[in-house]
Amino acid sequence: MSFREKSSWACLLSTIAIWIPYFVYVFSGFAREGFKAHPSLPALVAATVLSVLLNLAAHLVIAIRARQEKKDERDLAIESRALRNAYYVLLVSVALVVFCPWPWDQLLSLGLIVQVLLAFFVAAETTRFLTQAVCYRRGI
Amino acid sequence: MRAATITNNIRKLRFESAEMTQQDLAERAGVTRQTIVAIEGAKYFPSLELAFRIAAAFNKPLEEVFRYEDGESFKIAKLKPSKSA
Repeated sequence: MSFREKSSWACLLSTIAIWIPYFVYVFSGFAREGFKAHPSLPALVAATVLSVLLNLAAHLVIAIRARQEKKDERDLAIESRALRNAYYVLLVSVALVVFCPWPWDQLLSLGLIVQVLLAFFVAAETTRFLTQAVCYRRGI
Repeated sequence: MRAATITNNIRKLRFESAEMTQQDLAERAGVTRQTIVAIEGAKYFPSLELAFRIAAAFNKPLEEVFRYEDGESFKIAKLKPSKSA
């Protein structure tokens, strides 16, 4: 497994390991205590710091164990395919929010909008890492 | 109808070139070993520039390393007898 393939898997696994429990905690809190009462900022800071530290540690270990190589045209092709898929996910997510008839007067809260946007961004990033990992495994 | 495809002789040429390893070829062509593995297995089709660099690594013309097979021309070539025959 190349450095970049290992890196894709590390990013994918750390994103799933950190952000899925985070969103479960935040959205279950919203459902239990209401959108304004549940404090989500400390959890967001903790998840961000943990994500940075985990990725840093994983990449340090991968860099020690695998030889780091320069990006070539296949890496760039995989990267652009992954970015395209991530963009589709982001586009569909945003379209879902904008065009679906949600009960806005009941749902509207700044905290909720921030969390939903963050969830879309994490979904897009997960798609990017997953596409990269699959493409490296398959050859392209 | 057969789909158009690009085939290659990289594996054969590596063995003819004093059993050149995939890593050696990757270094000569300026790509990673994984890219050579993907090209050799016809999972990834290289750019024209990389195809020329790979051919240059073997000191061979491009058409000896890569061959383009179009579904239609493949059928026509089979129907038309060659002049030498």
